[in-house]
Amino acid sequence: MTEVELTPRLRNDSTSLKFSLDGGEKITVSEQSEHVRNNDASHEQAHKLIFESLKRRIEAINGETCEPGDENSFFICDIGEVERLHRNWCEQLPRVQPFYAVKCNPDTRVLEKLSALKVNFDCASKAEIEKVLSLGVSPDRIIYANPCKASSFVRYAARSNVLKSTFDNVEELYKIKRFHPKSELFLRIATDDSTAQCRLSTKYGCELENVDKLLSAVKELDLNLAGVSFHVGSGASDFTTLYKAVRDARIVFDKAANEYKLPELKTLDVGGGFQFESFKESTAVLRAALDDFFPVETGVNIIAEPGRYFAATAFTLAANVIAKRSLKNHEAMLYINDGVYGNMNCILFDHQAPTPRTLYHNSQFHYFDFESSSRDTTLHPRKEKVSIWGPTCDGLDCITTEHYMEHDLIPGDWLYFPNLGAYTSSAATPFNGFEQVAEIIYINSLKDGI
Amino acid sequence: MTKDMLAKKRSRIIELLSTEELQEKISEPRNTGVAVSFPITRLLKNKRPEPLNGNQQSQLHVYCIRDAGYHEWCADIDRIPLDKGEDETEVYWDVILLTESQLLLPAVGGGELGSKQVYKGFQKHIVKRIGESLSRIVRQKKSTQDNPSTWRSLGATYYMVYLPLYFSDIIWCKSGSIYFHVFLPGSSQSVGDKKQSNEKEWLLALLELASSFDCQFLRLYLRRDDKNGVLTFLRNLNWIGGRLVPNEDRNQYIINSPSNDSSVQDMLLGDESFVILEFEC
Repeated sequence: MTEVELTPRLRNDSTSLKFSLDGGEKITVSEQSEHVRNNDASHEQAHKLIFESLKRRIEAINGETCEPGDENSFFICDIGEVERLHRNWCEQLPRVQPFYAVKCNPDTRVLEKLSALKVNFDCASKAEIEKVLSLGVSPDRIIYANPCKASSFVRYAARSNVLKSTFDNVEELYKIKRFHPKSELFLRIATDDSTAQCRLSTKYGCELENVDKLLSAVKELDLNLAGVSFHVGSGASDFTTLYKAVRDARIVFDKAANEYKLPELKTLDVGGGFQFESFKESTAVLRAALDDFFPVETGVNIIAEPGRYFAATAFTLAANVIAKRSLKNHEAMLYINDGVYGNMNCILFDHQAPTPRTLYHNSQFHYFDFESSSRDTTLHPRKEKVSIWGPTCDGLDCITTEHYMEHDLIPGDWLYFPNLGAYTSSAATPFNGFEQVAEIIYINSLKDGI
Repeated sequence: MTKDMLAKKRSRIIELLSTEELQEKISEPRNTGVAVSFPITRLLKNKRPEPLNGNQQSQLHVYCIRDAGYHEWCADIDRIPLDKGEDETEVYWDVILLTESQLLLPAVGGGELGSKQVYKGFQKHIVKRIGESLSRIVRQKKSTQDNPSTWRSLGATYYMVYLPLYFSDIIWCKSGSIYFHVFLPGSSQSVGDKKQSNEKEWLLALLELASSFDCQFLRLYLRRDDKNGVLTFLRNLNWIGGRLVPNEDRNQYIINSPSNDSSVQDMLLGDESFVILEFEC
C-alpha cells in the first residue's frame, strides 16, 4: 500500500494529512477541517460594510413606498474581497498561475479586477471569450476549456487567436487539426471525482488507460501538445483525489516524452474545484503533490482554473419576500423575488444550497444575527418552518424545501444570502441580449475599510 | 382525440420514411444519425423564390465520420427519400403540424378539450400562419412574427432528426433566423439508462446540425415529466456553455394578446411542459 504523509512544513498545524492512495484506511483532510476553518482569522469578510450597503439600499426602497413585490433583488459585490482572495491564493499557491473560470461569474467589474491582478481566464464559450477580449486581455491569457466543442467553436477560437485549449477525445483532435492546427493543447485526464458535489469526470476527461490513443493521434496529426489538465470537480471533500490526479498527470508527461517522443510538455493545468472553506486543506495537498511529482526544478509551469474561490464570498444577494402561504401553525411557504431562473441557478447547476438569513423584519435589520436560520431543527430549534420559492410558480424554482427561521417573515421583509457569487448571476448576465436581472452594488472593502 | 390524430400522423410519417434507401443509411455503422430538413418554401407550388439555393431544398443529412476524422452532418440527397406516388407536400404539412403540436398544452390532447374540433382548429391556425409567412416571403416583406427566439415563432425550416443511439423516437426541430429549436422526446424514448448515456454526444450532434444551418443559438426543450433526466442534464450545464431560459409568462402573454380567433388558438399552446435551455452553436 502506498502511503503518503506530508512533511511537517506542509502540514497544517492542526491537521493530519496522512492518506493512502490505493484503497487502504485513509484519513481525509476534510474530516478534520473544522478546526482550521474556525481558527482562520487571516481572512475576514467585510460584514460591516456589506451591512451598511444593504441597509442603505433597503431604506431607500422602503422610503419610496413600494408595494411588496415591486422591489428587485440586488447583489452587494465586494471587489476588495476579490483582491484579498487573490493575495491568499498567491500565499498558498505561489507556483500556480490562476486562469479564472469566467463561467462561474462573468461580472465585468470582477473580470477587470482579476485582469488587473494578472489573473488569466478560462473561457467555456464564444461569448465568454468575446467578453474577456473586449476588456483588452490578450488571447494568450485565455484557455478555452469547453469539453463539448462543435466545429464552429474551434473555428471561433482560431479566428480569435486563442491558442490554449483542452481536449479529451480523438475526434476533437481531428477538428482541431482541420480548423486550428496551431493550438496549444492540454490533454484532459479523468479523475476520481466521486466525492465532488459537481462531478465532471463522469463526462469529461480521458481515462488513463485510454491516453495512448490520444498521444498517438497527437503525434500522427503533428499537433502541439502543451500539457496535461484535470479537474477534480467542484466541492470535493476528499483531496487525495487531487494528489492522485497530479500523480496521473506525471505519468502522462513521462509517457508523452518517453514512449511517444513528443516535445517536452511545458504546463500542468490542475483545474478548479477550489473553494474558500477548504482552501487551506486542498492547497496543502496540492503543494505536496506538486513537490513530489512536479518539483520546481522540472521547470513545468503550473496553472489552475479556479472559479468559485474568487467569486463566491465576494457576493451577497438580498431578496424581498413577495408572498406567503401559511400552511399551519409556524409553517409556511415563502415566495421571494428571485430564484433559479434569476440569480440562484446555482441550485440546479451547482448543487448549492443557499443559506437564507433574515435581513429586515418588523422594521429592524438583523444582518448580524448569523443564526437567524438553520437547516436543522434539532441543532438550532427555530420557531418558523419554511420552504422558500422563487417567483415563477415553477416546481423547479425551489430555493429550499425546509428551513427554520428565527423570525415569522411576511411580505415586504428582506432575506439575504451570503456567499452567493458562484454560478449565480452568470445565467442572468447579459448574454445574447438578455439584460442582467439583478442590480449589483459594488463596494471595495480594501479602500473603504472593513 | 387530438393526441390520437397526431399519433396517426406520426406513424404515417415514419412509415413513409422507412424506405429501403433510408434504412440502409441508418444501418451503416459509421452513420450515427440522420435528419430530414425542408424549408417552408417547399410548400409553394408555383411561386418559389428563385434561385433555389441549398437551403431552399429539402435535404437528407447523415451524421457520420468520413475522411475528416470527426462526426459531421453531410447533406447526402437533395430530396426526401419517399416512395414514388407519395405526396411530398402533405408530408411537409404533417411534419410542421407535428413539430408545432409539441407545444400543445397537455389538457388539449385528451379529456374535454380533446375533441376533433380542437384539433381542426389547431390545424387551421397553423396552416393560416404558415400561409401568412409564405406570402411575406413571396412578397419579400419583413416578418412581423413573434421574436424568433421564442417557440411561438414559426420555423423557416423544419427538421426530423433521428439519433438512434440516444433516442428511439424522432426529434422534432425548427429553425428561423438565428435560432434552432429542438423538442426532445420524453424519457421513455431515451435509449438505455439515461444516466449512463453520454449527453455530450447527442448535444454535439444537434449543435453541429444547427451550426450547419447558420444558426447561432440552439434552444433545447426538455420535458419536465423526466425530472431526474432534466436535473442530471442541468448538473453540468455551465460547463458546456448552456443557460436556463425562463418559461413564457403566460399571464402577460394573455394580457398582451388581441382578442381574436387567432389568439384563442395561440392559447392552446404553451411551454410549461418543458425546461428550456439555450446553447451557443
